[in-house]
Amino acid sequence: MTNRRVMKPTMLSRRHLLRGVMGGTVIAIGLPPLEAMFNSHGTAYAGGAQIPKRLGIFFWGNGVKVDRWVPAATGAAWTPSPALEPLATLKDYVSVVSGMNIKTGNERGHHAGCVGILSGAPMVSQPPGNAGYASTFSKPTIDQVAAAAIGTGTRFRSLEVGVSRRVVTGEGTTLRYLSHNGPDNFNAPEYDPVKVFDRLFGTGFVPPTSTPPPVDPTLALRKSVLDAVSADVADLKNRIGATDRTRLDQHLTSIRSIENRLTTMPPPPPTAGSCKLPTKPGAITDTSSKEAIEERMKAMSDLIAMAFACDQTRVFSMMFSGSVGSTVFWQVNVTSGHHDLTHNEAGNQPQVHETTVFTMKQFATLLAALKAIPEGAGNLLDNCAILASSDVSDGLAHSINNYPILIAGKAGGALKYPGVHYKSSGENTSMVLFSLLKAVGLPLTEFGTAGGRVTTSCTAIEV
Amino acid sequence: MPAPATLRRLTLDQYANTVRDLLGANLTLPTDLEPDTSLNGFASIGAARTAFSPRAIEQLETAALSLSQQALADPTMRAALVSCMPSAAVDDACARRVVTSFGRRAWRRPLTTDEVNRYTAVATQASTTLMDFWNGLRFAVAGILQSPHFLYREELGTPDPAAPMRRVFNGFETATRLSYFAWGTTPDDQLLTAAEAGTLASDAGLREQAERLLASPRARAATEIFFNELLHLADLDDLAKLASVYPQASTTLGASMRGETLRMLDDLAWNAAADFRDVLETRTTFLNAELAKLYGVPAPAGTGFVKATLPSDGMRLGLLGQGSFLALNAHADSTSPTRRGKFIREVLLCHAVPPPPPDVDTTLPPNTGGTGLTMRQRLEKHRALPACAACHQIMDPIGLGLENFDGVGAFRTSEVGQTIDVSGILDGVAFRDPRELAAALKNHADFTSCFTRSVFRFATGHVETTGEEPTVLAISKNVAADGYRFRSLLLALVMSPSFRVTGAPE
Repeated sequence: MTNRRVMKPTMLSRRHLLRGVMGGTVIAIGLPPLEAMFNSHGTAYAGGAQIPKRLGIFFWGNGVKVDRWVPAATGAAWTPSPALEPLATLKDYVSVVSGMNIKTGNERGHHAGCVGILSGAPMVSQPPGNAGYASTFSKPTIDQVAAAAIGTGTRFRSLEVGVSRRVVTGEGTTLRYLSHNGPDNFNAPEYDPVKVFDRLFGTGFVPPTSTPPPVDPTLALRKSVLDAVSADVADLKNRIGATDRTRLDQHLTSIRSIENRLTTMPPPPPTAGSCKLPTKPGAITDTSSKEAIEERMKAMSDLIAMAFACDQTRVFSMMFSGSVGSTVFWQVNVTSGHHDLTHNEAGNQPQVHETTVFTMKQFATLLAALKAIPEGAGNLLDNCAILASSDVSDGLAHSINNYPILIAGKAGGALKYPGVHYKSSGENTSMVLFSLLKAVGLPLTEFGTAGGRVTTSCTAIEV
Repeated sequence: MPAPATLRRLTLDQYANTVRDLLGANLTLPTDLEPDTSLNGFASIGAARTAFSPRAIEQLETAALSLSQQALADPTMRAALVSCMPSAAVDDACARRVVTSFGRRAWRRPLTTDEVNRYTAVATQASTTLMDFWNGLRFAVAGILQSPHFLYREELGTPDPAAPMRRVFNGFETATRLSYFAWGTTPDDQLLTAAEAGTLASDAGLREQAERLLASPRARAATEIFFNELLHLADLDDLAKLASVYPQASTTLGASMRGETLRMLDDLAWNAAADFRDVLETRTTFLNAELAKLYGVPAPAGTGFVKATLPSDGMRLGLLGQGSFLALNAHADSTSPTRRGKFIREVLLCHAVPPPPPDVDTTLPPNTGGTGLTMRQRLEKHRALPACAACHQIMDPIGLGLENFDGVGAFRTSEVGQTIDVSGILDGVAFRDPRELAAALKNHADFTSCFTRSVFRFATGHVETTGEEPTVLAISKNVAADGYRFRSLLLALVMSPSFRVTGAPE
């Protein structure tokens, strides 16, 4: 990371000033990437460090109509099925994996699929006798597995956003939240693009070509507050059981990451590559009958893309719609909640299929936003590995076989380009998760837990 | 065996109430905090199990800085917080007094010397850097509001010498538990004083404080949170109804329905003479114009809610006749006897309902208009398939007893040209219509114990253990003997062992 410590001589005085206030705390520097840092091939920063790889998840609820989802042809010659038509212009960046099964058991419809496809591990049921049902994850979701390895050097370890708010809130953490750190331990998505903007690009973000901000002496004072709070957490840890200690360990880690951010020196103004301060999104208003899904999707996609371009984070998860969610897809003339629709629509469920087409159109919005931003010799999507999937295969029957899985991005050359359709005959979906984690650089030799454990990845989508 | 002792996060309501009580009612509260997570029916259970995410800790830091800034910028709030006049920009002694007094209220116990030193040092360092006493003090206040001692209720107890597996709450822990249960907020000065004096250890002392709190209007506000969670009323914010099927649906209808139910429950729960089981049979309710129209009764004057009596010969009575229950437990374009039955089983009787098995086609035949089938006939499919029948048999027959009310809660007597059959059997008791279903439910052996369980779970933050089962049943029995009064139930719970002891942390 030495390339990221480039600084102008004028920075020294600021640095010394800040160091004085901090009482000698070592200061790390988190710079957005500069154009001058890329090598002449554009594949790496000057100094040899590779352009970072990023991992993302796009998740939607209630599955697909499998007969209109799986493309007919396999290999690089695949052409979009009716459901995948909206991805036609991005097809080279997409691989389709069909025919795989979730092998962590189908203990409870929707819940099991969520946990299996996002973490490669079995779900945890929390049905204490006659109380309302709840479930949670047993292991972290893959965004957090990746974040632990590739997300620690950026301002934000990971970013969680949501699009449709109509999610199930009463059956535990599984259906309500996508990203998990462990059991009953989640990273809640933010549904308001204004808040996402403020967090990423508000106070603390130094836009390219701006004047260096004055050093704020209160940053050091906030750090001293957090030191005191950390001491309280350490005291309390001595009095509690193992379960609560896990909660408090995370509390401490979270405090430390705020402290790191406070003591990370604001970067000098860079000469902009693709990184620039984006326009602040306007407030998005939902009405009781119409959620502004497309508007929120566009705003969130642009924010994720610029967060990547400015290297503020390298990991995102997007909960487009919830598992068992009641999103009303009024845009395609559906009038009932999505989950109800998947159980109530008769025949071959043309309306359910239309909601899938609409969902893929939104996924295309995300991919297009990433592809639109140049990076090195290519674009951001060239350096991403994105999983797109759902909580069931077919919502009507709560099936978890022949699972709908898409992979998008080249992961810096680790994933097949142009994309392929790999038709599996019943292999483990965890193989795909394993591929994605390998693609962004995790040196794993196996992945998953219990029925979700695999020792081989899905080589068909890898280079 | 009592449940293991755990740390309980303040819920969002508790956090908001608490900072207002600590600093001042005119605070602008933070809007950007991690949502509560309801587990096994209650946010309080989620608060005892979920971890703060990294993002939540960020949000709490921002919130604490904002709250402390507001409190010290406002002369009234500042005067309430700081009882000394600083002699200079840096005044260690005055900062120490504030940390000691504010810390005791915020952490619901006296601070140790180390803790006082820790936050006094924060204030002094900040005052020195900023050359301003108040701006410096702000950082100590912000720290106290970010400490785990503030954010978590530490109801950990100390081992009971007589029975080492049990841990007894000290006075401050008891005060905290009582205050958050009865008022949804931090203990007031009177309760902290009682805790410090040790009077909460005796039955008489605890009862005196519990009765004081339960006599206050603040108890009604806390109880409203309980009912809102128990009956899933927050879901009414997002009530999706198909306008072509239910033209009565509007953007305000869900809120009106919640308003009716909460008012009815409040009226009944705090009427000292009332039997809380009347929630199922009462014809006294609160209606606004929109609901009166939906129910087909004369509209009250004005725009607000008015106490009303439903026709004594009608089918609409009690909770099961209210729009909130009827519309929430239905589809956007039809009723759902399955959902209504499931709600009654799970929420009102505490009976477990297994989930749908995987790989079963759950589609019902569509209702094709005048020539179609009634809901009862369509649901026959559930009972025809063995994979479905076992579970649907315990839900559908109850819900079918409410088919006189459509998917938005309007009364009807026919469907697809046929007279609706609303008869059925609830656990061996036959009923002919919604009125008899309400009576059967009221007299069901599990109704009172289930209601007791729900209050227990809300109060203690966990589902009762096997070892606590006798306590639940004993409370239930005593409450029955005492005329099923709501306040007696709350009081009996506070006085029960489960409220006063806990198990070793695990």
